[in-house]
Amino acid sequence: MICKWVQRLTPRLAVGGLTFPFSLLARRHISRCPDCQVVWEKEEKLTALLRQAGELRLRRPELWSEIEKRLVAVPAARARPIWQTVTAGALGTLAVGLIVLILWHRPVDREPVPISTKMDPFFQAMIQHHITLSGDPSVALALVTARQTR
Amino acid sequence: MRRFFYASAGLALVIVLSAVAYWWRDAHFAWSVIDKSLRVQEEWRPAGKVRWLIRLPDGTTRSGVAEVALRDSGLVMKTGAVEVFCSASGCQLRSPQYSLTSRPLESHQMKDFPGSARLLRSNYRVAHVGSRRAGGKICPVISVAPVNRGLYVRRLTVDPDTGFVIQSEVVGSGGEVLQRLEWLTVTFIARRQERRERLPQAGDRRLERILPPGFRLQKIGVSQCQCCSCGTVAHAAVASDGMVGLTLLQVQQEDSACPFCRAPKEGSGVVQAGSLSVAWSRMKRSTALWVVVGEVTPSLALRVAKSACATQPALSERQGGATVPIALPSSLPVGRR
Repeated sequence: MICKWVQRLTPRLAVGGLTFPFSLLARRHISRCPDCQVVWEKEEKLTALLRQAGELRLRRPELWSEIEKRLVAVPAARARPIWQTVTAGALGTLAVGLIVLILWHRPVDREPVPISTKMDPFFQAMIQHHITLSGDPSVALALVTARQTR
Repeated sequence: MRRFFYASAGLALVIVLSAVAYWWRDAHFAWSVIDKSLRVQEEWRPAGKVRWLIRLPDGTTRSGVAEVALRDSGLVMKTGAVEVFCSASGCQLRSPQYSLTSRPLESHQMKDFPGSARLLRSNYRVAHVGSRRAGGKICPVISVAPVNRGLYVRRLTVDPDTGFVIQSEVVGSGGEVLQRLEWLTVTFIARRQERRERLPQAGDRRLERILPPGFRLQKIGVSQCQCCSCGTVAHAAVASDGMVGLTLLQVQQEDSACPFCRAPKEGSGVVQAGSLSVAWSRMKRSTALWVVVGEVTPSLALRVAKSACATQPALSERQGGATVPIALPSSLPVGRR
């Protein structure tokens, strides 16, 4: 991936059109990557030739045909196959979908809870234990109403 | 074109900043009201008349007016012929047919309980959702929404001057009001200030694992039902999320003739009254019954009861060795009119 980007940037690097941090990173990568180094050397030579073109054009009219030959000799960058684009798109969509699902998913209680309306005396005793130990008399209302609604 | 771009970007920035400032101001105001309300609850106890409404699981609602008074350093709530007395020494329900009393035998405060105010901030989101007229004043209505599932949203109408909660509503998942308490008349009585100590970190992790998210273990204790000679003893763990109390009770009881001590044989179930759920679970051929009581949804209460039944945690203060005994009154003033 990095090679692809660096090789795209080499023409700008060769003419000095790449700004500071990118030029440094590209040069660093080129110094370490043999493939990119080959491309860079070709690009550098081509740029040097193009710079001399103005001077040589008058003297050597056959220069352009030579340049053309050299350009043809450089292997053209292969276009990305369509299956790669489609797979990348599908994977990206899947990843985004998963993230959305994780963030927004609220698990639903599958089993319906059968709620009884009848407050047996035993449960009243349990509410009393709750009030006694928690010291929270606000639920006394439920106890009172449970007694009233029996 | 460039000028248009800069103008649009500036306008968008101003709108975003205004929205953030508005939201922050609203949340800050709501929290300031809640903090004031908590301070009032710590320092004062209200007494007076309360209009109550409670929704039953069949969809019907019951309502009435209750009288709340303070007696023998306890709280009395009386509606119709039914009276409930709650104090540190016990809890008593009195009706024309019978009297039901329970009293704590032991109570131990957990050392690492962080405090209700801190838990409330981490487990709930508050918002200023409107205003209503109460007692000749325009009072803000604050919505207290839980972060975790299985709990109910509360709408509190708070007196802006004192911080007293004039009306509290518990709202169900469908927007229906499960329980409403509205003070009609009120007088304030100062609470006795309890000494609060900052305690070292410790706790019973095994028991906390079965608690719902956001809940922390507050107390463990033993309570006894004194309705009959068999006297059901319940070992209990009390947990809180800052707003709601949840009690996990372990009841060891064999066959009894007393209806208050006759526990379900096996299986599990849940009973609901208003926002209060009582869930129980007992394994086959087990003598221990696990009961969960609290203002949580029935499904959450049942889940906690089932997981307690499956893991069988020990509800003893010796488990963690991280408790402080709470001094209980030796006498039992309950039952005295």
